[in-house]
Amino acid sequence: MRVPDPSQHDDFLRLFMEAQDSLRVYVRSLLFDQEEEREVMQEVAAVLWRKFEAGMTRESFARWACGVARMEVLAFRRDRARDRHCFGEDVFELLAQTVEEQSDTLEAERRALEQCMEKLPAPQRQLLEAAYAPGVQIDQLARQMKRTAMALYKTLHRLRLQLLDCTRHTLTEGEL
Amino acid sequence: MHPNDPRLELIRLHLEGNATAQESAALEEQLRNDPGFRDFYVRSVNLDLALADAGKLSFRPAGDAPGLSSQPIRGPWWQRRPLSAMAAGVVFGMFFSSAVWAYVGPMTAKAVTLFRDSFESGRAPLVNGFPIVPGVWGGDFSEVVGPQQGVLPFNGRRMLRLLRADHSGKKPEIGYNCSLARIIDLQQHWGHLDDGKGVLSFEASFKMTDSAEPGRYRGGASLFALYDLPDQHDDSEIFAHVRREQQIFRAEAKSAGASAGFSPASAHRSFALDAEPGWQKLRIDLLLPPGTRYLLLEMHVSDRKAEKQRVDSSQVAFPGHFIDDIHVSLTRSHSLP
Repeated sequence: MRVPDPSQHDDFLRLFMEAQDSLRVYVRSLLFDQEEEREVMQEVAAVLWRKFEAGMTRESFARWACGVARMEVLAFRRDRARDRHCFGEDVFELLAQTVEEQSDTLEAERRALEQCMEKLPAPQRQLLEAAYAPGVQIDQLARQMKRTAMALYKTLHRLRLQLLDCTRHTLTEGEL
Repeated sequence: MHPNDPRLELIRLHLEGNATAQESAALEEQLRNDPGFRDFYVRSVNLDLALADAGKLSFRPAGDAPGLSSQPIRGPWWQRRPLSAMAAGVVFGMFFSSAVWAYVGPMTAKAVTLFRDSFESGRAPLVNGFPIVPGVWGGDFSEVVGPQQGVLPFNGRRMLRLLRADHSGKKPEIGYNCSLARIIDLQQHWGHLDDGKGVLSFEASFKMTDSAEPGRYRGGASLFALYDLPDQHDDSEIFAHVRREQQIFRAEAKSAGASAGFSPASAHRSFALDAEPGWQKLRIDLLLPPGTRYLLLEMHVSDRKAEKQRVDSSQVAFPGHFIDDIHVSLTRSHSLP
């Protein structure tokens, strides 16, 4: 059992915080929904903490964490989601590379998202707010709005595309 | 990518968790062969996560100050906090939770956070029995700790570790629960409670490391609506009331929600703790009767082996039992007549 060491915990937390956004994107890209992502990230964090050794650099931690995440996703798929299609190892690797290469851009896009949200008309913002509120079920939300779930999914998809377009333009225009 | 590109549909279905095996295989093929599509897919995932995070941050924690601090959130949700600025205190909670913020009735009935505590202040609960005033944790021996025994806090950097089934000054008696309790003052929300449509939701996360004897430990909690503060000078009377209610509940002599005597309504729930990775979440909802002014919240871990052996509570220690991220929220039940 790991004996807690306060200074090591601080080092771990610092490195983990730096890596966590990319790590989550990677894990989510391999799984089917956010609940799965949360479950796997919980295991990833626990494994990283258990096996963490002092002296890691940001880069070495990120690489190691990515490898751990990959193993945890595979374990999750094996144990809990066997009925689902699992991407091949080559795609795991390609996505890991993409996330690593794009990590700065992804972070910038998350920042740009705030501006882009403000540009949306109020009803669309409210719809996103409702759809992304914790625990909300799209089916239930659709019923309340007297729409079909499919129609709501598609509307949300269009809004996401709009936001992606906006964040890319915001970065291109150098507003951030 | 062009907005009409049919491959966008594959991304949509995958992100929503609705993709069939065939559609996932088609997505995989595109990810394998088209770097541009792969970039777009990763950006889509990034956006989806950022939106979900922003949704989670839209409820402001009330802190653990005495009384209530449930002011409505100020400003639109996406402006309340930078999407990319996550403080260390919430870093773990962002992904350790499954549904940390209760949300009932989108668009029409958001939960108001009455109380939230993940012990980040480091302030340890009182260990001299049940509290008889609002705003403090009290109960049996416990301590606030950081990561230990391979357990990371569910939220933030600290969590509560339960230690023993007794408290300071407790008379020798049989006992097998380590209990923590808190009284929450609801009077500020009188306007939402006087018609009997207020629903109080409690959530907490439990964790156990001991895997030697499956089924030995149970986690649980109780909610008691109160018309008034307990007037007992001795907290043991409250304790006795709580235990009696829980025993009645366990014996299934009556259903939850029809508490007699001590409180006008109560709700109880317990579950078997396991040592599997991850935290176990407990949620209880209680419809508050008109006139409710306080809530007594009790949570515990019980040792069933000690219960059977009927040992003195001072001899019952809990080797690795933790509670974190307690959240109490209030919603309105629109479904009631």
